[in-house]
Amino acid sequence: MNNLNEISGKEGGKEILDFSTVELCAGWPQREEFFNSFPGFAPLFTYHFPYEDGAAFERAKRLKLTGFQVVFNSPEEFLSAGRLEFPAPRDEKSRPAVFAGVDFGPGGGPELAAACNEFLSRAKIMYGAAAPLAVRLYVEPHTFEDAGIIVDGIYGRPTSWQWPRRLSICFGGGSAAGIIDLNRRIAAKYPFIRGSLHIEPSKGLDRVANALLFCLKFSDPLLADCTIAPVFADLDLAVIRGPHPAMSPASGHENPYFDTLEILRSLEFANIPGVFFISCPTCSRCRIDIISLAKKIYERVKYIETPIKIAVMGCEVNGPGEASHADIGVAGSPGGAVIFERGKIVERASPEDAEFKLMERVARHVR
Amino acid sequence: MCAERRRARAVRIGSVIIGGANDIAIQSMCTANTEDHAAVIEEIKRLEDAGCQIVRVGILNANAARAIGRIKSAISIPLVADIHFDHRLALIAIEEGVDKLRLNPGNIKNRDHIAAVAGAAKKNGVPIRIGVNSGSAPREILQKYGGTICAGLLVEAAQWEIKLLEEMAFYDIVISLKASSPRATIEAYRMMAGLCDYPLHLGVTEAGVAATGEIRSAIGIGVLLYEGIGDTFRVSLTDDPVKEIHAAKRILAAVFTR
Repeated sequence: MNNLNEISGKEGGKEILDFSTVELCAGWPQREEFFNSFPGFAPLFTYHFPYEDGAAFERAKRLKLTGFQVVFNSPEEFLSAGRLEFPAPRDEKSRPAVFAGVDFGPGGGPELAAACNEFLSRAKIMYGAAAPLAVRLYVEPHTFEDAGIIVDGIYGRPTSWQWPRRLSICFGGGSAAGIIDLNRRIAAKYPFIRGSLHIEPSKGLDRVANALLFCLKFSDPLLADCTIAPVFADLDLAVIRGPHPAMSPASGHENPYFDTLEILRSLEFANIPGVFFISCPTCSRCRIDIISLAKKIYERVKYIETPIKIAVMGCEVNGPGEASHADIGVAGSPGGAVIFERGKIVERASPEDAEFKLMERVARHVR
Repeated sequence: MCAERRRARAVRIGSVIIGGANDIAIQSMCTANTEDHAAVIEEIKRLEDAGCQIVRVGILNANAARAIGRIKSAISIPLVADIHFDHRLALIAIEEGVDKLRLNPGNIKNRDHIAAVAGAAKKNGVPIRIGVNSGSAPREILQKYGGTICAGLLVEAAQWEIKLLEEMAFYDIVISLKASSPRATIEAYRMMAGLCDYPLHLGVTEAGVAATGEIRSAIGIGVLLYEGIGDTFRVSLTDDPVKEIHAAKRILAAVFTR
C-alpha cells in the first residue's frame, strides 16, 4: 500500500502484503494459539524472541520460521551471551533471516551514538569482521535532532569501518503519530537509511494506536522499505521499562497476533486470510438484538482462515446493501431476519434461528 | 500531524460548533428505542459521563419524534435526529427543538417536502448532515459504478444530495461518506475535502464488534485526522456505545499526542 491513491478504494486491484515487512512480538501462549489457528500462514511472519528464552532458536526451527529476531535487553546482555550461531542471510539482497535486536533505551544523541558505536566495535571483535550478522539497534532519542546525531554518528564513519553488513535502526518512543513523524523526517533527510528503518513502539500501544501506526506506515512512500512491528500493551497495566514488555505472557492483549491480523485485514491486503466481519452498531431502528447476535457470530468465525466477508446487520436501511456485498449476510427485517448469500436473498429466519442458519451457510463456504 | 488542518466552514450544533479551527467533536448514537425516553436519557447520560459531545437518536415514527423535547430537557449535549423517508418526522423534530438533523434529501424525494424541511431547518438554525453510506447508495448511482462501492460513487452520491439542499438555498450542511471498507472511506473523504468546504463527519460504517471496529475506525478515521481532514467523527461498534467514546478518545490520542 505504497500509496492509497493508487488503490482508490476499488474492490479489485488490491495490494499484496510482503510478509517479511511485518514482525510480531509477544509471548508464547498467544503465539501458539495463533500458529494453531492459522497453520499455513503463521510461519510467514518474522517473530521476536527474548534472548532469555533459551529455546528460542529451537522453537524457530521447529516452527519453520522464515525470519526471527532475538531480542537483547541491553548491549551488555548481547556481549555477555558469547558467540551465538546466527543463521546467515540467504543473499546480499534478501532481508536477513535473523536479527539480533539490541535495546539501548532512551537518551540524548551524543550518548546514544557513542553507546552504539562502542557496542558495534566490541561486537565486531566478538564475532569477527567476516561474520554475516544482522544487528538492529533500538534507540529512543529525545528529539529528531538527537536521532540525526545518531545516524550521522554511526553512518558517518568511513565505510571500511562499517559493521555489521546488515544494520537496522529503530527509533522508538512516543505515540503512533509521533513515531511516524520522526521516522518520516529521518527517511526524508537520510534517504540511504530507508531500507534500514524499523518502526516499533518502545512502549506498548493499544490496538487503536497500533492500527494507526500500520496504516500510516503502509500509506507513505517514504516508509515503503521499512519494517514494522506492533507492540501491544494491556490497557489496565502500566507498561514498565525493562524486559521487553510485550515479551512476557502476562502483558498484551487477548491475543496481539489476532489484532495484528485484523489490522492487516482492515488495510485490505489481498493476501490476508480470514473473515472480514461487518456489523452495524445498532440503533432504535433495529428490531433484533444485533449486539448479541453479532458477538456470537464473530466468536464463531474469527478463527476461520478462508477469506470471506460476513455481514450482520440490524435493519433494512443499510442491511440489504451491506449484506449484499458480503459473501454471507444477515439483515434484520420486519418479519425477523433475512439471509443473503453473494448478493441474493436465500432464506428468511426468525431472530432465534438467524445465527444457526447463517453459520450453516458459512460452514459450506469454508469447506 | 503531517498536514495543516482543512478549514471547513463552521456549523453550529446546539452548544457545539464544528469546522474551522474548532476542536474535533466526538459523538455516538443511542441504541435504546427512542420512544422509551427514560431509557434513552439514561443511555445519553452514560455517554455524557464518558465524554461524548454530540449524540444521535433514530426517529422511526411520530412518537419517537415527539420524545425529542423531553429527552433534550434532561440532557446537556446537543441532540441529532436521524430521519429517513418521512419529512414530517423532520418537521416535528425541529418543532421539538432538535439541534441537528441527519437526513438525506434524496430519500425524501418530493421537492416540496424537501423545501419544507430546509425552510424549517433554516428558520430554526438547525443544520443537516447528509450521510452517504455504502449500504444505501442510491440505485442509479450504484448502477453507474457497476455495483462496486468505491470513493467515486460515495462522492457522487453526496454531491447529488448536497445539490438538493443547495437548490433550496440551504447551506448549513455537514457531510459524511462512510463505507465499510476503510480504504474506500479514506479516499472518499479525501476527494470530498477537495471539492467543498462543508465540515466533514468521519466514520467507517458497520465496522463490526469492538475487536474489528476499533481497528477499522482507527485506520479509516485516524489517517484522515492525521492529514488534517475531519471536524467530527463517530466510531461505530456493535457494542455498548460508551465503548465508542473510549475508542474515539484513543484515536484522538494516537493522532494528536506526540
